[in-house]
Amino acid sequence: MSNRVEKTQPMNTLYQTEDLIGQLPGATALNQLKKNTTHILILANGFEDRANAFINKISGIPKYKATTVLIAKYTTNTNDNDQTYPKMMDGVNKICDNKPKTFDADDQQKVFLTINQAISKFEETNLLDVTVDISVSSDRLILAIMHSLLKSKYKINLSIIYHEAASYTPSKEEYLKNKEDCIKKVLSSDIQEKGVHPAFFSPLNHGLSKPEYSDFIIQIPTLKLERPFAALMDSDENFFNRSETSICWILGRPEEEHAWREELQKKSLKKGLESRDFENLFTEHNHYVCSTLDYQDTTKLLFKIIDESSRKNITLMPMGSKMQTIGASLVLSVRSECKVMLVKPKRFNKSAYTDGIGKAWMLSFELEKAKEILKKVGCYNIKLRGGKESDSLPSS
Amino acid sequence: MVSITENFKHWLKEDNSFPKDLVIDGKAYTILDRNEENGHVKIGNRIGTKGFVLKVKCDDKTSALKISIPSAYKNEEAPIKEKKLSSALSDYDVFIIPEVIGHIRIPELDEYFKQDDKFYCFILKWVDGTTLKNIIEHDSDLLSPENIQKHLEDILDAVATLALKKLKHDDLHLGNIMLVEQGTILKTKVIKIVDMGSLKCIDDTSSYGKRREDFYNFVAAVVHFRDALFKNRKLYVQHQQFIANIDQLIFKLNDDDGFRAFGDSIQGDDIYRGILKEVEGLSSDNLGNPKKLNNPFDALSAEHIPTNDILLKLFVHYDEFYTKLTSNTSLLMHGPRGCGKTMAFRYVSVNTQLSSISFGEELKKIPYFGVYIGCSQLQPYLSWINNVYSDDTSYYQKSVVTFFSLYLCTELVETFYNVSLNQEAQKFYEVKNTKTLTNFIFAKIQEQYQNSESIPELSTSSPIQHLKNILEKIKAEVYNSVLNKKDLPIILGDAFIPEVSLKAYGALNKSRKIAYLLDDYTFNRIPEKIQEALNKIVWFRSHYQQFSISSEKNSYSTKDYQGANYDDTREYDKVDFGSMIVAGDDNENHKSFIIDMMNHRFKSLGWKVKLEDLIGASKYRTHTSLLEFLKNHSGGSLDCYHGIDIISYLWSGDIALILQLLSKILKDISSDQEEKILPSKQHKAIKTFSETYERYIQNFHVYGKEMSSVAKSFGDYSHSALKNDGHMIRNLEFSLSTGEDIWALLKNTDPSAHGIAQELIKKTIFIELIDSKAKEENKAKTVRWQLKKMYYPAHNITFGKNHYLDIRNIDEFVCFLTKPNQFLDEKKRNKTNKNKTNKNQMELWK
Repeated sequence: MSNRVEKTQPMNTLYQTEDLIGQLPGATALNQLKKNTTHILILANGFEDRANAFINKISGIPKYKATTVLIAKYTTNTNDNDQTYPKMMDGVNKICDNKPKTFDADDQQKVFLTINQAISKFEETNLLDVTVDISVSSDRLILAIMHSLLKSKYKINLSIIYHEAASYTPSKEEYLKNKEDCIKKVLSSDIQEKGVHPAFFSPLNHGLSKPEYSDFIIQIPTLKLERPFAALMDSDENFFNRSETSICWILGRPEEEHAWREELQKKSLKKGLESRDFENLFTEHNHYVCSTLDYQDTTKLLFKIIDESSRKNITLMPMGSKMQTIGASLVLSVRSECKVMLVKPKRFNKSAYTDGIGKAWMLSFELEKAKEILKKVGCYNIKLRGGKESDSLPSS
Repeated sequence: MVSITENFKHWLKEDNSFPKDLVIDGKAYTILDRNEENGHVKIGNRIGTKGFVLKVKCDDKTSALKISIPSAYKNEEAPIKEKKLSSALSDYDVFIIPEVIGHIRIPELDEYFKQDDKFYCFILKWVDGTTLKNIIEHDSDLLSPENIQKHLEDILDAVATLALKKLKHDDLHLGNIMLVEQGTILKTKVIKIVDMGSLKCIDDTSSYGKRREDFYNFVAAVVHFRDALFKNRKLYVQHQQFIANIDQLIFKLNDDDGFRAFGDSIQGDDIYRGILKEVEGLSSDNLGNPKKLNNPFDALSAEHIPTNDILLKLFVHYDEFYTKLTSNTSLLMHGPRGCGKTMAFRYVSVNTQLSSISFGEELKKIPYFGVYIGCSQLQPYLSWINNVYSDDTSYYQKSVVTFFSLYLCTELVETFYNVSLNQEAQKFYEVKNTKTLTNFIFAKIQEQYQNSESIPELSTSSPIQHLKNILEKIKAEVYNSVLNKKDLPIILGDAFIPEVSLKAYGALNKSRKIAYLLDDYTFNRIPEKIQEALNKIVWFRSHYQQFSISSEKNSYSTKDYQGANYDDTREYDKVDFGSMIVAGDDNENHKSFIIDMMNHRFKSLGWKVKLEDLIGASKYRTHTSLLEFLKNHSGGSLDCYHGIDIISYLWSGDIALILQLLSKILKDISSDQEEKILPSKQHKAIKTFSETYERYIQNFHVYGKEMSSVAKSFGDYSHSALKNDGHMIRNLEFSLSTGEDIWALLKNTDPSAHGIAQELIKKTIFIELIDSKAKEENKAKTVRWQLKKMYYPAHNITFGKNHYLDIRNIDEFVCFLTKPNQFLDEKKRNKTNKNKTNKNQMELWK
């Protein structure tokens, strides 16, 4: 037998992550909803102006109906949140005939169980429509909701709604006028969040570590640095002696009119690290920048970092933008070896938070399809003879 | 392409109806798995694209009856040709080839086919088993590098056989490869290739691609196995090296020049042998874990030591601690974080010792069969149960005990499996017979398992390994049930682990107890209520089982869920390792430990340098000489913090920290350096390190600023006492009645002071020493806290003691914790006034 093989030999090559993630839906402007019904609507009760933007909109659509409404309630700023709650309920009562179920937004396990329970009531439904408004959802809540939906055995059409705020603190004018002062404000622990609770490992993403592997942190920080720093301090007894190769940072690049915040975040982070004697932990080689709106950007980058970090116990600290957190949740669904560390603030400073309602976005996932795509990342595209591609094992 | 229609497939699956017997060549074959009343036959997934398979019986022999749809064959010759072709393979058991061929009419199928249609059928050997496709898609937990390698070798061998016979299967995907058990006594899992209906001759006129279609399916099998391991992240984490090896193989298989890819392995013209050699090498660790550290300060914490082999090389034992750890009684060992508990626990475990080249004298000192259980691995599972089900006592207790028992049992079985791979180790541990152990565990599991699908029979080719896979699978099932609060697939009671241990003890010829080395059994990892649910197992006393537990002070429970208390006078020995090191003040011992530890690291890298030569002795070797120097020094630069004596004084039992300090002092040394590091350079490194370490306190987000203030104020106070009075103050002391508890008192007086105090101890900024009675009357005790010594150079203070900060009441304690500056300034003022009064009184006497 000759060992010379014809040039027509099929090649089995790894799927390109870019191509796969490109098949996932992108965010589109929320002009019109695809459907006027949803089986499950998940809302969060927050104090920001944009908290009720979506419920106000859909309750104004004459025939809009939701069979079940789940409302996540935070344990922080309860008085502030209570002020927006009646308006939310007005809207909810217009679109849902059943009593909404409230649940603790800060307890990830409760979120998981509540969503599971709600979904199981639609056992007979072939394709479940779930709509989630993440406009005022915390990173903990987004991760728990996404985890519950991605783990579900039911076929789900997921619509994610996101309203930006009209303006953020500090404003562009303030920043351009006095950059140093703004950086100082960002670094001040009181500016937007007042104190933090001890960091905790997410019970939903507890990871799969191997004792002999070294630790590696992927930090997606918020602009406010108290929580990201708290997570770093609590992550490791020897954090004191960490090197720049044991951590990487994913910063945020906001769209158009908020793009200046990228510079503010980078400068604040560097300054914050310097003041804590950790200036060596941020280098040109260990940080990346991802869009705060295009979640695919974060998804692609996280896959790249994780898949290139063999023999490492990875801790992900996803505290960035809401869309970045969506991107992270998709990666976590197929990279269960990563554990997630989170930090809950004690209280928000309502007056120094966001104002108004900005652009509205929607993401529409067919979750089954999305899961299949995500599972392929890092796997081979098997080509049989004649260039035919085989997505899965042939059936017998 | 001819294939079964969707309608017909549905009929076969859901609505079929068959006669009791089918007659082929004059013989009646009775259809099995058939419902007598409606004639429905359970066909399951035995439906292909061109036919289906029934299980039949004739003359007491069970066979497979493969029925092809009429259009599957172009003419009557085709099936006969197929049988003739496959007869060339009759000597090879791996292929399931037709024994009888014929055709039948089945009136029940008339609705889907023409009435005169003939159904070609083949009688084949019946094989019980599952397809590799099924395992990959639904049971990937059962995969392991070993069995994947074996399957690939077998598939490749089958492909080579077909090529040798100038045949091709032409549909050799994993759905047509079954895994079946073979043999009566020595049962082994082997592959069987089914569905030979597409078998074809290949000749030189066939295109090269067409001739190699079976081979391409082999390559696809390699890729499918690799992807199955990659997608199952539990397996991925465990077998990253194996996956990397498969990736290399796939890279070579992709190469269109077989010689270039497999040239080294090819013998003559036979590429299959070359590939087989590569497949046989898949399990080898050729890229491997790092065999040594990258530099002397790599892997500062035990958790980061990459291999057991390196851990063995680096381990240095602290005598008193090690003697206790290697005793034959249950042990509860607590000490501050970083004091080397994990390193020691890993060291005495069998899995680590298996990396040893020889099983010599040192190993004989470990009197038990140690199974390492890291609580950090258990934490996520048990915490979930704790957080969600704490109000359902029955479910809580059942799920905690079951999960814990399965976890321990899996680790024990894995340890036995690892020993079974090493003949020397088998001899050393006197492993007699593991069959009784594996059969016992399997029977127990089988008896309790309540899922509708039964557990597959234990393979006899490698029963321990198979059992380990089964346990892993059930463990995952238990966890999934817990996630959704479903009935547990299995319930194991408190007695399971002792029973398993007893059998394991028997398997070791009763020569060694089974010791579960439960590392980091702290509330932080295993919440109090969970510990109470487990303590009945953990503190069960017997001659065949013991638990050695590492924990932190005030971070373990000694009660069980029924309220029984387990104490250190009966159930276990308690050792306070933190106090043993900190309070011991045995600097010679500390010194030799640090020198040994560092020199082991140098040696593991092949470096000739010795720590004692690089650092040298200290100029100020005693507390008093350092005190004198610091007290009288004014202005100019200092160089007093240098030398091995000072470095040893700085050690408070935190191994990683002392290694960090040494890494700063020895920053730029080379492997053959002879010159000593200058004392001034050492001093600068120590001083900077100490200052940075103290500044770091403020970064703790829970009471960071408050704790920083307490440590800094205490350091300044101690410095001022040294300068003004020649006092050496490193402790604060507080008198209490014997029955009183400092923590309860603080909590009742000021919750935030209590919080600060807890964090100060938890972060080991202060170290809580054993209560003393030395200066107390009856029924009183002294609570003593010592500032961690690493902070002393930041304040230019010495390491000894001749005085202490006296806290006179709980209000003072609260004040010290919440307003340390104010409180200590007041103390200083009082002291100055007292000194003045004393001085005045002295003058009066003059």
